[in-house]
Amino acid sequence: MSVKTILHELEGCTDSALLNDWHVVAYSTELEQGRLLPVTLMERDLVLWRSDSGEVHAWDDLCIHRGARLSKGCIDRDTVVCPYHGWRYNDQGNCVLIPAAPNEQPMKKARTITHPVRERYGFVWVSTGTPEKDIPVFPEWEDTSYQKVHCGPYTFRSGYRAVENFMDPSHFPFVHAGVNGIYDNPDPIAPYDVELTEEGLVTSEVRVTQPYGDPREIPVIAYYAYKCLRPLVAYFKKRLVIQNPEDQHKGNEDDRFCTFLTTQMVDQQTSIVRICCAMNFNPQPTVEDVRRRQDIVYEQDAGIVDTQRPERIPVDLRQELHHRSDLLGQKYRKWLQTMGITYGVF
Amino acid sequence: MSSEGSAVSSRLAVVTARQDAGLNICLLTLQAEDGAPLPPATPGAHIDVHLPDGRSRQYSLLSSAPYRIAIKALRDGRGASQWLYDNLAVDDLVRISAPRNNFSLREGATDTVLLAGGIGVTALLCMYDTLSAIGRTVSLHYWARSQEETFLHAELSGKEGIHIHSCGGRATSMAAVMAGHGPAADLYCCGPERMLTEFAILTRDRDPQRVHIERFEADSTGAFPQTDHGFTVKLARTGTTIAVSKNQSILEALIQAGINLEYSCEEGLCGACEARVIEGDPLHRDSVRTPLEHNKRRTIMLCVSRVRSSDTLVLDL
Ligand code: FES
Ligand code: FES
Ligand SMILES: [Fe+2]
Repeated sequence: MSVKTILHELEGCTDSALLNDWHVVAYSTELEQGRLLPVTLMERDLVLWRSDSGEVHAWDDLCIHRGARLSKGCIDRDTVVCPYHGWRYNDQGNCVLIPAAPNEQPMKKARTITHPVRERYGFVWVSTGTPEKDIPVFPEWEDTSYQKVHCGPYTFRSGYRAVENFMDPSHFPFVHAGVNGIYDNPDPIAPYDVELTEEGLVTSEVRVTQPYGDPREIPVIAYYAYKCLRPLVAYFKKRLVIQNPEDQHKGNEDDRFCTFLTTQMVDQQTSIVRICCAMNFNPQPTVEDVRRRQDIVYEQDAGIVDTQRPERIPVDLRQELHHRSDLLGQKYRKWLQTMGITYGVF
Repeated sequence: MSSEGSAVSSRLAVVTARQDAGLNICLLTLQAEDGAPLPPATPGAHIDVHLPDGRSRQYSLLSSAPYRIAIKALRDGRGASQWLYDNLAVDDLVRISAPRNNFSLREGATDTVLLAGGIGVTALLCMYDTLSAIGRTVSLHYWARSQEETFLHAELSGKEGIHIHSCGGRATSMAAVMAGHGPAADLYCCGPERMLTEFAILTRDRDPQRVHIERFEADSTGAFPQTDHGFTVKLARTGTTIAVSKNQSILEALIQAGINLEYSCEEGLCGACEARVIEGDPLHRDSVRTPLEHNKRRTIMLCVSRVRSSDTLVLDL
């Protein structure tokens, strides 16, 4: 068997729309120098590490020699040392030493399998194909009036169902009763528009009542504008209007709370959600307050989303029963279908 | 879309007074040409006003003896209101229809709430006057864009039970107003489509007998015409022609013909079966979008929409 065939067997996903896209597989902060971090992206095992140059590298977690896991090895003098026969690879992925023949120049084919990798918005993005587009834009990242707080990771089964849930305001009163909605008085969802643009799917504002809609813990009317930027990356910006006159001083008209959500599909039934929240409140809430609240909300979400069957999301709308209030979800599924995505879908 | 004026019941009327009643709004008084009384009308009624070029447009009667109507120059593309606003002067003759009422008032109601948006207030003012005159509890909430665009601002703002929500800032929401009125209240709404949609959502759980909507926009005259008939659908991309029988939806006929389509609810509620219309005059019956929006986007929902005439509908499929 040639190397190629082995790799082919190890490969889970063959959809070009997913392979040729960027996927978040870690937070930047997880990659301290000297650490080998194993991650799995769509069933493909990768190892991440940061070389002395400060750059992050993403390789197949596999030594070309006899297929041992590089992540079980170590980093020594800016090279990755395979745990099995000690072959050493430099930050270009070239083998620089075969300890069994220390004076020989390793063969040219002695290279790791490297992948494009970028750090952006505090996340590590990898592609196991040839990325066709740049990483999607998170507009508030550069805006210093917004405080940024990374939260998660949160584990979900279906990555698509997690993304769809993120963009679904009609579950708030039930899944997040008392926090993002009112159980006994759910908001009717007024018609909203969804447009397919260059950026992805973009909605008009959706209005909901939130008894405790942001870290300030006061009742607000929230207007969500969603964007589904990639099959597994979504975003919302919500505009907040404080409900009680006596709370007005706790905020102002320009108050916004945004979330940039990324999903790493480990396999078809396991996903890791990582988010970055951005807010421009005055005063800004503490990082702990933001995280505490996000942890509650995403745990509530996973509790329900993980019960949805089949785990693989049906993209044929005939398979489940939709309502106009689910318009964004419908368009999302349709979009996945048009992109020819089969991995993790039904 | 323009109502076919029935020549029989139409008559000429004279404009006997014209008054400015707000920004781009005029108030007209109409009387029969021969001075005889015009046919009586109940609160909520409207008349069609015919333009010389054959178009017509509906206006609510603010009072019926004499007839008074308000015209707002809407700059709405059709331009009928604009034309009337620009051209009608005292002593001019206009052709009008007999009054009709799809929006009649329950005078026996114990609590009546009238919700008006913009010029839609004209459909409700006559109701307000009638109920106040007989001593019933009535409130009129009127949302206007600004004070100068408010119809008869000076006159209305002093009246008991009339609340004008106009001057910028955070206006009271319709939901907040409705929260103050229990299930026994009769609610009437007339205003732009957006407002009617919100009203429909907010009143979903109320007794339908107590919820009344008046669409005053050009093409909605109330209930769906119940004229089901068979027709033909042509698929532009393949050139296929498919017959839709009287008892079948377009969606059913297309599926039967082996066409692969998206759909989910089959009741006009989800929006999954939306298709683009290239030619034909569709009759919309879904609650995903308003007919106006559909016509603007040239879309239909295949599961419930039909065709107005027995014409062919050409779809972008
Ligand atoms: S109510 Fe939506 S999945 Fe059950
Ligand atoms: S199938 Fe749901 S609107 Fe037609
Ligand atoms: Fe949620």
